[in-house]
Amino acid sequence: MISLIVENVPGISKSADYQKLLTTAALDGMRFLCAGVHSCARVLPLYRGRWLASFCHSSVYIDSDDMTSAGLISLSADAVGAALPGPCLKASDAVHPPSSKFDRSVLVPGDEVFAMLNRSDLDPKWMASKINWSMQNPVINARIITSDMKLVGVVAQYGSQHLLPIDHLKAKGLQTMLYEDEGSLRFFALGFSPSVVISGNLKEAYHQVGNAISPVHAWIQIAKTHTLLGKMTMLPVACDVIQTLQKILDRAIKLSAFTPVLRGDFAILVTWFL
Amino acid sequence: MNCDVITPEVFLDRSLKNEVSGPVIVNGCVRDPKIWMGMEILNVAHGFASPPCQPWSGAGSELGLSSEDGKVFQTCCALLEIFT
Repeated sequence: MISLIVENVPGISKSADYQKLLTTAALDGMRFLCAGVHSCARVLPLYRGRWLASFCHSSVYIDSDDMTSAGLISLSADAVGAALPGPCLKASDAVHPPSSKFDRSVLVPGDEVFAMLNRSDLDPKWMASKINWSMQNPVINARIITSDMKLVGVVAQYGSQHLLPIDHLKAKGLQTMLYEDEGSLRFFALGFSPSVVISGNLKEAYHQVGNAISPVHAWIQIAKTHTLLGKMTMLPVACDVIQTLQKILDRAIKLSAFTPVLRGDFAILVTWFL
Repeated sequence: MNCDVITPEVFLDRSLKNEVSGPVIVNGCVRDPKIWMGMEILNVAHGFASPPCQPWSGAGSELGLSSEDGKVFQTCCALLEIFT
């Protein structure tokens, strides 16, 4: 194996074990290259930073010009030609199409969960600045996402994080955000193209989605890695960041073209051309 | 694009018989040597790993390398050495 790309949370580089990880990798003969935290907010309707790093075996020659070129590939404002805050859910056609009230009822949290989401001792640190204490139910109001906003708080435990021990939630915060849908609040729903099948079990489905990596994040590090490898790669990168990101966005599912239907345990998105 | 979801045993068997001609999903643990052997037979050159994030996340346990999930990162890194 020539190269290995690794993805993780931004906090990994601040961990006490981070240097130990890199030292172990070096002992395994791996060079640690092109690491950084990338936000996809300028391109996608999502606040999600990911730590992405490329490792190459020490036997692989890396040209300094290729290293420089790889470093220039980024999701910065200059590179993508877009400023923050970037697109919202509606502008990206990423609002899940209406289904029946019955279908959506499974996405509405129970009263106990609502009560937890309104507790001031369970709000995560990043939410503190969003809370307007002069409002009624200030904490739960800070948890609301509308179609004019981006998705935030996507974690593997989404939809079930409130079931974790209360001491953990007090220490780390309950990250859950809710989507405002025709006047009511529910857990968010995502749609995928027909070739993607995720679990029909809601908890497992959120686990899969919360652990997923966006195509934009995946592409940026693949492009960096194969630029680094130069003549060693079978996947030469003709790297126009703006054009490539536009291709990714053009291929993204446009949810307004679909209607959700239930087939057994699965919710399927159908459209007239399928 | 459809692809098979297979076990590490089936993956290794197909690799030995040169029957992995397209994308497959191997549903198993990254520590399973059958997956590693299959990848070596196929001469996999590039990898993309997403080890568990909970040991490193501020919203998770932050146990780092003290947890079994945290050690998966090191396992992924060791892949490179073995295949080179």
